[in-house]
Amino acid sequence: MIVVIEKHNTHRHPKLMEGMFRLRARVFCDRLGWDVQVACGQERDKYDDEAPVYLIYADDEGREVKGSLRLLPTTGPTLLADLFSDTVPDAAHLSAPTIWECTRFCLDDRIVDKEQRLFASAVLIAALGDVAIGAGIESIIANFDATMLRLYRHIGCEVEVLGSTSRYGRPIYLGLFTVSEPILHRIKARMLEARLAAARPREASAPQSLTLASATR
Amino acid sequence: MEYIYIDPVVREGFRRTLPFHWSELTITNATEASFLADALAHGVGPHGFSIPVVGKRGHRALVSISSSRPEQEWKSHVAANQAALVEIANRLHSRVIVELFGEDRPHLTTRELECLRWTALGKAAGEIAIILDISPLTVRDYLKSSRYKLDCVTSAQAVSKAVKLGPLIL
Repeated sequence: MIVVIEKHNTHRHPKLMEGMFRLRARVFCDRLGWDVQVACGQERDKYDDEAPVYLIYADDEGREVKGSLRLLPTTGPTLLADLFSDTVPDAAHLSAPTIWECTRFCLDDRIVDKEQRLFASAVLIAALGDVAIGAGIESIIANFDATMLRLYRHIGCEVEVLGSTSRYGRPIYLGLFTVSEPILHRIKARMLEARLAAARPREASAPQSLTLASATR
Repeated sequence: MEYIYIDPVVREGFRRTLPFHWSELTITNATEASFLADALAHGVGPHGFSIPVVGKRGHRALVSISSSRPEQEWKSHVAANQAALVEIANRLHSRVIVELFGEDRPHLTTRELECLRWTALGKAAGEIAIILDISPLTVRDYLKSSRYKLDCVTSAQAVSKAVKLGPLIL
C-alpha cells in the first residue's frame, strides 16, 4: 500500500516514519555512502523539518517500508538548491508553484530481484504521478545516481538530466521529470508488466539467477 | 472572536503541504462545528479548497476558496484548474510578503536570463530548446520560473520587467 504522510497525519504512522528514516540510513549512508547525517540508525536532515510530503510504499499490514520519497515545493526552501547551487545553479534555483522537488527516493535494499525492484519503483513513481496530478504539479526536479536513472527511464519516466555533482565521490545527477497523464499511463502499464515478470514462477528463473549470482561473485 | 484558533481549516491547513478539500477534514468538537455553522451563515460556501503555500524564507500561508455550487460540479472545477489555483495562491502570497517585508530583488539564473533573452528576440520555446540544446519542456520550466520570480503572467511581461529591473540586458 501507498501512504501519503504530511505533518497532519504523521502521528498516525509512527512505525512507517521510523521505518522510512531507517531505510534512508541504510540506502544513503551504508550503501551509497552519501554525506548524510545518521543518528540512532535513522537518517534525517533539516528539510525533514520543512513540512515535506512523504510517499511511503509499505506492505499491506503497514509494517515494512519497501520504498519512500520526499516532496517539497520549489517556492520554499529546498535541498537541491543547496546541494547543486555550485555545480548546476540554473536548475537548482528553479522556483515555481507547479515545480516540486523529490529527494531521498529509495527502495528497500533487501529487495534484490531486478524485476521486483523495477515493480517497487514503478509503484512509488505511479503514486507520485497521482499525487502530482492531484496537486497541480507539472514538473519534478530530483537527484539520483546512475543506477536509479536507468531504472527511471526503464519504467517510462521522461527525464532530462541537467547536471551532476561529484562532491560525494560517484556522480549524483540532477534531473527534471515531466508530469503528464500520458506518461503516468505508460508508467502504470510498465508497473503491471513488472508485476507479472516479478510473479513468474521462480522454478524457471531460479537456476538462471543462480548463475547470475555466481557470475557476479 | 479569535476564529483563527477555532477554524478547523486553519488548524489543519498549517499542518499540510499538499492542497486539500475541506471534505477531507474531521471536525473534532462542538466549537468547530458551531464555527462552521457560523461561517455558512455568513456566506462562506459549504465546499472549500485550501492551498498551503510557503516562500523561500519559510513564510507560510493558507489560501482558501469556497463555493456554494453542487459538490460534484465544484470538485471537477477544482480538478480542471488545479495548477492555476495553486499559481494564484502562491502569487497572492508573494504579493503579501512584498507588502510586509519589502521587495526582494528577484534572483534570475543564467539559463532563465538566456531563455528571456531569446524570447525577447522572438523565439518560441521550441526554438530556444534547439538553440540551447535542452528539451522544450525544460525551457518551459525556466520561463515559468522566471515569470514566477518576476511576478509576471506572460513571458513578454517578464522580459520587459527583467529589463526594467536590470538583470536582463538586450
